[in-house]
Amino acid sequence: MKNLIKVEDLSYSIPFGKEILKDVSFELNEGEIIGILGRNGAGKTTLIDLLLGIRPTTKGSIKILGENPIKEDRIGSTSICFISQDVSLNSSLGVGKFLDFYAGFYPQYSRSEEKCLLELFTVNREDQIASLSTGQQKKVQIIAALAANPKILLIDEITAVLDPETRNQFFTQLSKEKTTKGLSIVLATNIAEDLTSRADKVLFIDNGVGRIEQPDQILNLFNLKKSA
Amino acid sequence: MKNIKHILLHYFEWSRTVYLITIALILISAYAINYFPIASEFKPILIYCNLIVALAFHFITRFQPVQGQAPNGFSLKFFQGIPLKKDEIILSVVACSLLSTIPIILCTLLFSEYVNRTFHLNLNALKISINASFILLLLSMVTTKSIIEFPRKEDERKNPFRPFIKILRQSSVSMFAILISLLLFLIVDDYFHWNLAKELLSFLESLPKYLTSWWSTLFFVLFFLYHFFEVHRLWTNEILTYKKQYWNAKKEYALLAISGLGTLFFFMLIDLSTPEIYIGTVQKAVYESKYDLLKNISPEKINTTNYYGVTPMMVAVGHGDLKMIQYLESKGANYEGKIVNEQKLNGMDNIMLAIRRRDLSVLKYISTKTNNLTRLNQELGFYPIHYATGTCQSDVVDYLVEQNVDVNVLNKDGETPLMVSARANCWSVAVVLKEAGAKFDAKDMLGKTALEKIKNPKSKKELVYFFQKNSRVPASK
Repeated sequence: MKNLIKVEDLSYSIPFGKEILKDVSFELNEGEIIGILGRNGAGKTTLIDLLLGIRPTTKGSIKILGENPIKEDRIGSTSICFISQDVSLNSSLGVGKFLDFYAGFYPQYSRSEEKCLLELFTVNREDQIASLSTGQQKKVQIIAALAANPKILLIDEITAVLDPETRNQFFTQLSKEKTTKGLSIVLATNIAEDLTSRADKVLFIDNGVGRIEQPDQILNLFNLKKSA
Repeated sequence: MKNIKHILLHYFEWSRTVYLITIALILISAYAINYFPIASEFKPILIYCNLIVALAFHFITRFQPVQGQAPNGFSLKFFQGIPLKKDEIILSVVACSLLSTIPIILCTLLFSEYVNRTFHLNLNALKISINASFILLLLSMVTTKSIIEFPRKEDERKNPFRPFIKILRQSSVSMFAILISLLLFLIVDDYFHWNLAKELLSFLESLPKYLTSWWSTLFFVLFFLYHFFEVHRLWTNEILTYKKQYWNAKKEYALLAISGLGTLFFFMLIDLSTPEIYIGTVQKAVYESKYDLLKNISPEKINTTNYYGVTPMMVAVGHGDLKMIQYLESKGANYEGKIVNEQKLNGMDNIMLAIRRRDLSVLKYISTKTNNLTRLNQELGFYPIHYATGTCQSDVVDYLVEQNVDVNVLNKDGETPLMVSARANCWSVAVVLKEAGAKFDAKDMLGKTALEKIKNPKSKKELVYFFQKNSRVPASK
């Protein structure tokens, strides 16, 4: 299988601040889902930022589609899509206008898939973004990202705001994209149950140190008795 | 470039309707102000409304990545998630920002004449607009770049210059708000007649002049700060990480120094603030009240004229700077000269400029030095009394009457000052002229008397009422 992401001995410190990640290593192959799990403030979003090239690494290396993400003139950047809890859209736009805008950045964007996804997630192209709830706005982002036909999808804690039905539809669609198109997914989440039956492997970050765990083992990683 | 074009086209599409309505509104208002008989009290309000619409358009529709969740913008995370380079984000934001600034520039250009008249200024609206756009552009670049470079404000927490960055970010909005408030205050001032406030804040009248004369320096300081923070950002954020191997402190600081000096040199050479008709070293020094530069000036240079025929004395008179007038006089300056090659001010001499400035003290002073009060201005085709009458300055007309100026003298169209005052609906001047012996039965070349020149019958009634109420012993007696 083709290797799409390779992270080796990655460390990241806030400039003049504490060390967030220590010697994290993992690989992601085509058609795989890797879950990133950790307590609040463990560094999940920071790791996604590093994969996006928003932050420079302190030590170690990242290769995403064979390129360093910090490089400005990457060829593969149009093959990576990002969905996040922190993304907010311009509320004065309509859904259709936003999708048209988004489509312009991705040459492989498919209008027919966009139509199917709009129907699946019951979102109307004519709706104003301002009239949508937070969960519905995330659905619009999901539609845009999946219609763009990326090779890698980076997801940062988006499932928490989705209702059970939409969450189910979302994961079903991800599995479909994974099997039919070989989509690789990096899914950062706080909800361990999201990963148990869906991820191929899980990167558990604890005190900055990342280790690969099997999805069926992750429920034992949190000390639930203590917190209860 | 493709991505920037894509963003710009979409931005225009989103804001197209409001954009065109805003521009149409400004154009219609400008046309109405110039060509329809709108009451003078409503003109400032109309301009005020236009400015608010233009500013509202700019702030509501601007395309700016914002920190966190914001209702009318894409969050920075959105921009970071799509395949855009940092430079593309910055350039597209700047391009969209410029597009949304066009209505404000249009407003400045179209209403500049009125604003200049209201404030007794002679500022070049085009140059100020270009300056303002540059500043907006620069601030837009600074804010966008700093937002992009500090993803979660971690650097700022560790950055000793954080308060300055914060001020720089916020100052653009607050400075703009202060300027607009000042502008609005000065506009509405004429309407509400806040004479006391005007007296107290009279020092503000000279503020636009000083502000614009220091514009180049201000621009340079902003540019320097921008580069400073840029170097500082590299130092604090990236030198310790992946850029360590590429970092060369000497090279970076040398670049900063060279670009800083280059910018300083550029903005010192290209003066974007001084009005065009004041070009010339001596004229500019007078305009900026730089006495030290004039200290050792030779008598030959003191009366030098520029392309527009403007002498240093005319600059001082045009700005009502009596102290400078006396200083130039002591250096051997005379009161000769007329403006040429300038459409609006062609033919203006020192007396006319003093009247235009509405500064009686300057007029009184220079009229003792020159006998132009009773001389026909060949280029303009009228006498000073016609100009004072047409601009409705009863105190100036009163003074001219005192100086035994003929109140029935004819301009090139055969009009007496009374006819001009009738045309201008200026009854306070008409009272002064009537009491000084102005002839009501005098006719112009078309055979019309002053009263016949008043088109509106209501205005004729107003004039009669005004005469009854305001008759008094002429000041000349």
